[in-house]
Amino acid sequence: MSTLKRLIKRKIALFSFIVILLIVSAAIFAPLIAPYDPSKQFTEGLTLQGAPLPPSSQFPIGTDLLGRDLLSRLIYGARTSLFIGLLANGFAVVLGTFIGIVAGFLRGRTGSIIMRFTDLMMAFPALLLAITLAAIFSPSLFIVALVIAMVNWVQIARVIYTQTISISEKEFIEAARSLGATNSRILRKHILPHLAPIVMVWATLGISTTVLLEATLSFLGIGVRPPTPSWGNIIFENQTYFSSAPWLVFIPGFAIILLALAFNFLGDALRDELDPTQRGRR
Amino acid sequence: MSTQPLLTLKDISKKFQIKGSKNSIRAVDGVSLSINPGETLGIVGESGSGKSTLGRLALRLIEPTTGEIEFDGKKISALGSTELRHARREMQMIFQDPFASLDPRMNVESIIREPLDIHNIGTKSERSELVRKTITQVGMTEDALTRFPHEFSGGQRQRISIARAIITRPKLIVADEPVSALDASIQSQILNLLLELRRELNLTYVFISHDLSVIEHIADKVAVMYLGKIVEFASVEEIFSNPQHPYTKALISAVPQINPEHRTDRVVLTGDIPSPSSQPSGCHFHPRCPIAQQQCTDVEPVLRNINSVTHQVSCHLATGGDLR
Repeated sequence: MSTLKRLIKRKIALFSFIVILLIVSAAIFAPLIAPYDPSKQFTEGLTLQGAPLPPSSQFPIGTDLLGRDLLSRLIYGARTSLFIGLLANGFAVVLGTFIGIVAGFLRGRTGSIIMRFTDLMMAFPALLLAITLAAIFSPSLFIVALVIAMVNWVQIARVIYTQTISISEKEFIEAARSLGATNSRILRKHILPHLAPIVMVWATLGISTTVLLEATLSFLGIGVRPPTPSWGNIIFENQTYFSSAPWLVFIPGFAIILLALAFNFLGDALRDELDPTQRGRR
Repeated sequence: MSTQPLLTLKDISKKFQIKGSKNSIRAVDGVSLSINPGETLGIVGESGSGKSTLGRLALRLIEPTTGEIEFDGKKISALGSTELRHARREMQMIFQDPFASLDPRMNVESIIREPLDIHNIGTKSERSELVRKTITQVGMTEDALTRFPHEFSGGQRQRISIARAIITRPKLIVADEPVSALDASIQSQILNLLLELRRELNLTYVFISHDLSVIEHIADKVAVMYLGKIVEFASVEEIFSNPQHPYTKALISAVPQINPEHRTDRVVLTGDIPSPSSQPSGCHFHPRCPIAQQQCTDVEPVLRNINSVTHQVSCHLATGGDLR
């Protein structure tokens, strides 16, 4: 049975997979699904007092503080959030894994120098670093993703570093060496497969973190520039209306949680599937 | 014997530097050995005696600090890393813990096939043919191939590691306590399997164990190690019938005897093996030796021939006769 088939058998994993699929297709087909242009301000989109509208037949989940259709913004926002989430986290995972493996496998002086550098990066407050980097480069989606990746790769490198060391000291690695395996073979065949579940978990867990960090950066005005919607800046734009129009915050917030949870559950299931000692249990 | 030894160790030493200290540990201290093809050399000693380190040094899994290793006419100690990798085809290792020495993420087929993949032996179909042949050779069935190590018992896993070790038809196998992690009933099965394979494949073993009864069963020659040095070296018959070193005597008296009439007085050693970082003066064994004299604390004995060239002992007081 293939890994995919077994994954589908697990209900939560399947449900998470469907949720992710829905959000991804909403992002891809945003122009087809979204009822309106996400940046269009409707004069009828606000009350006479200038407050956002609650859900109605015209605006299914209401309007935001500028009288724009919230549903359209949410659908288009999925694009931004997913793009940044996947890209930034992808960068962070690739960079962190690479640096962690290199340092963990080389050990010795080279390994120590690399890890002292990551410690240095870790000592910076993440947000401050992101703000500095974002201030140096003019913000674009790509730069925001890069900035987030620069902040997030450090933890991954740490985890992968210690894991690589602990795996390298296992006897089956010495056994492989005694068989005459090259370092590259040991890395590919014996160390990477053991790291895969950890990388997998970080790759999925990290998406929620990056989506949230993007939201924070957007709020501080150094993330995604308005009027481009992202789930993060929808929340922060509308937070002043939290008491009178809570759906403006709750709905995008729920979307972020849903996405983060879906990725976490999927990551969990994937990790179990990749571990042959767990297969067939439970 | 005029045959060329298969493996020769010349004055091999290994020092481990202790981190943050000027002291170093001499795990193996000036050991010389040779093994003829087809022989089984048993290395016996307490934990901490350096026997596992010696086994790993012989295969250059650990780099020796000093000394030379010659295997099958090649100077293993002088090989570059690529040449060394190629040479590993001929010399394999069986590890103590069958739960740790098999990659849990590989199925049995890939584990056993790995040496063939590494050394690029045969075509794909020849490889799987050989894997199937080898798994039956170690007494398992082919349906084990698709399963994973955790699905097997300790004895079966050790069979898997034996299969992995013999598949390249090596000349030498270093077995580091291959049965000490197993139940007594399984131990003899694995030992018999190793004996059988030695005959079928004309193997030479270096068999490391702390258990003299296991050594008696499998070895032709025995080296007794204490604190990184060989204290006695002889054929297995000599060691058991005429042990010379007091340490060997103590070890032998600790082997349980089934027949009560054969029981001898136990020589009980007091204390532990000293730390290799602070070795005693003179004979390293003197603090625990029941017959130590003044010269033992002052002068370090050297390995010398006694009775015959094949019986060597490093003890001032050994006379060749029965000291007991």
